This record gives sequence, structure tokens and C-alpha cells, in this order.
Amino acid sequence: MTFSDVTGSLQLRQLSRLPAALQIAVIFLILVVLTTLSSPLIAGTDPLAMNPQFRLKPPSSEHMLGTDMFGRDIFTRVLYGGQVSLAIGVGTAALATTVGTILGLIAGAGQASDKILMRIMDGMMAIPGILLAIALATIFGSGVLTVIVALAVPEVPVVARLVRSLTLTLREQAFVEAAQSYGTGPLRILFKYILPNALAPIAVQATYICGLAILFEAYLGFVGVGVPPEHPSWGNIVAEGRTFVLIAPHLIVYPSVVIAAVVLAINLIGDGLRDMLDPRFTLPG
Amino acid sequence: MIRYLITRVLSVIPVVGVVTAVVFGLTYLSPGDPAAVLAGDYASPAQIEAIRERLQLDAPVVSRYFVWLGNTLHGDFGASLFSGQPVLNLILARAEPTITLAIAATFVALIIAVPLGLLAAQRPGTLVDRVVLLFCVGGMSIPAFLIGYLLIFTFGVRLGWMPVQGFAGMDKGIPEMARHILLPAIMLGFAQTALIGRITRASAIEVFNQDFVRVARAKGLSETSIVIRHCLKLVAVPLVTVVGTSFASMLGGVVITETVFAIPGIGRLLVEAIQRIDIPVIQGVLLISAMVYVVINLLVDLSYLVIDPRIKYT
Repeated sequence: MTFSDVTGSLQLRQLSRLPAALQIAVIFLILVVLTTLSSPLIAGTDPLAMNPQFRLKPPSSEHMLGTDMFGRDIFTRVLYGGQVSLAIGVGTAALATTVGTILGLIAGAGQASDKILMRIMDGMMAIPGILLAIALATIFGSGVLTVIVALAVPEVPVVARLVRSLTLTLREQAFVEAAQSYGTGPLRILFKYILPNALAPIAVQATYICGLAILFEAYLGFVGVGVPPEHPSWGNIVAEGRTFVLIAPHLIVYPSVVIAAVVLAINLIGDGLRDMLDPRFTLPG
Repeated sequence: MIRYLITRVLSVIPVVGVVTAVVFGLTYLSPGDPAAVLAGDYASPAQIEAIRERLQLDAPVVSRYFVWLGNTLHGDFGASLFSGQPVLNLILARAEPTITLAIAATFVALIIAVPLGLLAAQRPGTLVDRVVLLFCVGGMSIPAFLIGYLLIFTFGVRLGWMPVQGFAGMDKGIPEMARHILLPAIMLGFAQTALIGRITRASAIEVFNQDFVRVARAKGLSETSIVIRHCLKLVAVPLVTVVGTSFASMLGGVVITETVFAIPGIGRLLVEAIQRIDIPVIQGVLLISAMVYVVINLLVDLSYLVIDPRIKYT
């Protein structure tokens, strides 16, 4: 099954043939993206607007998810925060996948490059990802771009390993040998013949990285590094709620539930894509 | 086999080389003068100059790396910018809660995940199986602090069964230690449950389809006896790898767990260090965690020599 088969099978008319959990996940995620993109229309208030009279209020008809310690509306902040957090998820996945794929292709192509690159990747994987991300985010200083880089670096070796092993398998295939036999250059082989056939598993990995990055952004925020407070993100909303968690649990619980639902949907989509790539899997109907 | 043993042990060297290079490089990634970064915000120009002198910052990068590596390998991780204490002492002083927590969490994860995985594997494709799989995906998707706070609200605040903060060491007695560590261990173990449950299920499905299981069934043995006496050992083989790597990844998770439960471990040490941008301490924690990962993975690989005689080492 090639990449276009998978993306093709995700077309809307075939959505109904996917497993129920996957359908719900896809529809839910589309809704989340649309809602966060139209936050200014839905929210009606400013995510930074303070209202000291209404501090730490539990959910009410006026404030659907309650207010935080500055009287800011948590629903509005979660909506706007979604823009930043989803962008971090997608950005991290894109960055880690691009760099990891290039490194993996290079490693898979040659003997010497393979040895050196893979030793470096092994070494990087020895440092727990979240710790490396925390250290990088601390040292680079706070910012959305910083967080994306800090979260992407630990994921690069994971992608590189995957792409390397795919390259090693694909290199032995008849169509690559055929291309080599009429004199196609090594770079062209890598990018024209091997990469397109490796895209599907890479896409699955990218999906998982996206989910993980959203979760880790929250962890970075939770320990106090990451996106600066002037841009609400799911991570810093949770971080700011930490001090008040015992008197106002809604500050952390509702944003966390949103994070959990979105990451769950992304992971389910990753699982679904993976199952579809499995040759033993057939779409019903 | 001896050759495999030697190659595997030697393969640690490049990994350690890369880890130390990355950790060393962290100081140089920050914008600005490394000496000023290391000295912190309140250093005088003289102090910055002293650091530049001591670290030989005017020497080429490679030679500086080897000086630093030499110090590190001798246990000199530098001193905290905040307290001036040796980093290694700071880490060792905080090690007990973290080690206790990681071991307890591994037990919690195994106790929940292995039965769940076996249960799902006995009935693949059924509702039970799907619920277990969904639980596993959920475990990887729910922010750990949400689990932690839900545990605190339920068992700490509402029911009042457990303390919700702090750590009790061995010296306070095992029951007291267990009372303090149980909720944090569940929180930390939860994410690992997902991983271990999945692997148990996959591994068990494979084992259950083998001929000897069919023979055992044909002999009329009970399902429980088949699973426990005949299959568990085989299912456990891939589990050793997962438990090894997940123990290592827990070293990352402890940062969040120790923050939620105010446990004075290595994770808290790191959080305190990032708030003060105490780079030598951050470097030290990263190094120690990576070393634990390397050693555990080495032990896991070597343990296969003993636990799985089917593997041939040449």
C-alpha cells in the first residue's frame, strides 16, 4: 500500500467505512481545529482581559469553564490556547519528521554515514526526551519557536531510525535495482524512488509525534518553561492554574480534559493509519 | 557469546561519547557568553573571568570538551550556581525518593498491565480487547498531572486515605513509605501501563497461537493453568525490554510526578534548577538520567543471554 492509497482511503466518502472510533476521532479533530481557528468569533471576550471581581469562579452560565486567578475566562483562553498548542504539535511533527527523514535517508544510503549518524542518534535517544526538551527550552529562553525546536530535537532520532530501516529494506527492492541499472544517481534514487514509498510509515510516526508534542508542551508549561504567558497555550494555562489547584481545580481539570481528548483523537488516528498500512488489514465494505 | 558480550559492553562507549557531547554543548547553545551564562545573573566581572579561566574558555572547543569530560568521569560535575554545592552531591542527596518512586511505579504498571494484556490477548477482537486497547491509548494521551490531581482529590482530599504531599524514606518504616509513595507511583506508572499492556497483549497473542498451547488445551488443562504455567514465561521475554526502556523513560516522568506531589527528588531538583537557570545542575541531571538509561539497557540486553536460550549469539 502506498501513501496515496492511504490518503485516498481517507476521502470523505470512505470515512463511513472506517472503524467507529477512528470516525469519531477524525470528526472530533476537524471540529477542534475549526473551533480554535474561529476563536475570535466564538469567544466574544479577550483571552487576556482581566476581571479582578470574578477571580477563580467555578463554571457558570457566563463563564462556561470558570475564571482564573485574574478573572480571565478559561473557555476563551482554552480556545485561543488551542491555536498555539495545535501549531506546536504540527510544527514539532513537521520539523522532527523533515530532519529525521533526511538523516535517515543519508544513513540508509551509505556505510560510513550510517555508522556515524546512527551512533549519534543512539546517544541522543539515551537522554529522556522530556528532560532534553526541558533543558533546551530553558537554555534557549521562552517562545513558541523555542518550544517547537526543543520538542522536535528528541524526536529526530526516532524518525531517523525508522527511515533508515525503511531505506535499507527498500534499497533491496527490484524497482530500485532497475533504476540503478540504467544509471540513476544516488540522490535521485533516495528522493525519487525510496522516499515516496517510505512516506506512509513516516506519516504514521508524524501523527504520534504531533500528539506527543501537544502533551509535552503541557508538561513544559507545567514545570515553568515554554510558551510565555502573553500567548495563552494549553501548557501555560495549566501552569498558571497549578498554584490554585486545591482551591480551584477547574483551572487545571478542564484544560487537561481538552488536551487529553485532542491527544487521544490524534493517537487513535495514528493507530488507524498504522492498521491500514498493515497488509493484514482490509477496509470493510 | 563472549564476543557478543564484549561488543555489547563496548558499544556503550560511543553512546556515552554522544551523550556527554550533547550535554556539554548545552552551555554553548545559549545565546551569549558561556562564562556569563554559567556564572548566573548576579556574578561580578571578576567571577565571570574566574570561570573563563577555570574552564579554559579561550581554548578550542574540542580540548575544552575533553577537560570537562575528564572532570565529569571523575565525578566532578561542577558546582551549582545557586548554592555552590557540588552537583553530584545534590543529585545523590535527592536520589532516594526518585529511585523508590520509579521502582514502585514499575510494580504498579506491571500489576495493572500484565493481567489486562493477557485478558485482551485471550479474546482478541472482542469488546474486552477493545476496551483494553482504548485504555492503553488513553494512558498515553491523558496528561500525567490530570491523573495525579484526580488521585489527590479522590484519595487524599475526599477520602483522606493517603497523604497528598511529600516523601517518607525507609527510616520512617515501610508502611509509612508505602502510604506516601502509592499515589505518585500510580500516577507515574499509568503511562507505562499503556506501553506494557500493549506489548503484553501482542506478545501473548503470538504465544497463544503456538502448537504447545493447543496441545495443552487438548489435554484438557484449565485456561488459567495454560496461561500462568505455560505461557507467562514466554510472554515475559519481550516484557523485559519494555520494562527496561520504560523504567528509563520514567526518569523523565518523575519531573511531573514529583512536582504534583511535592516529592523532594531529582525531578524537583531539575525544576528548581530550571527556575534559576542553574546550568551545571541541569547538565548533571541529564547526564545521570542518560547513564541510568544506558546501564539499564545494557543489563536488559545481557539478561537475554540468561532468560532466552533460544537466541543464538555468534
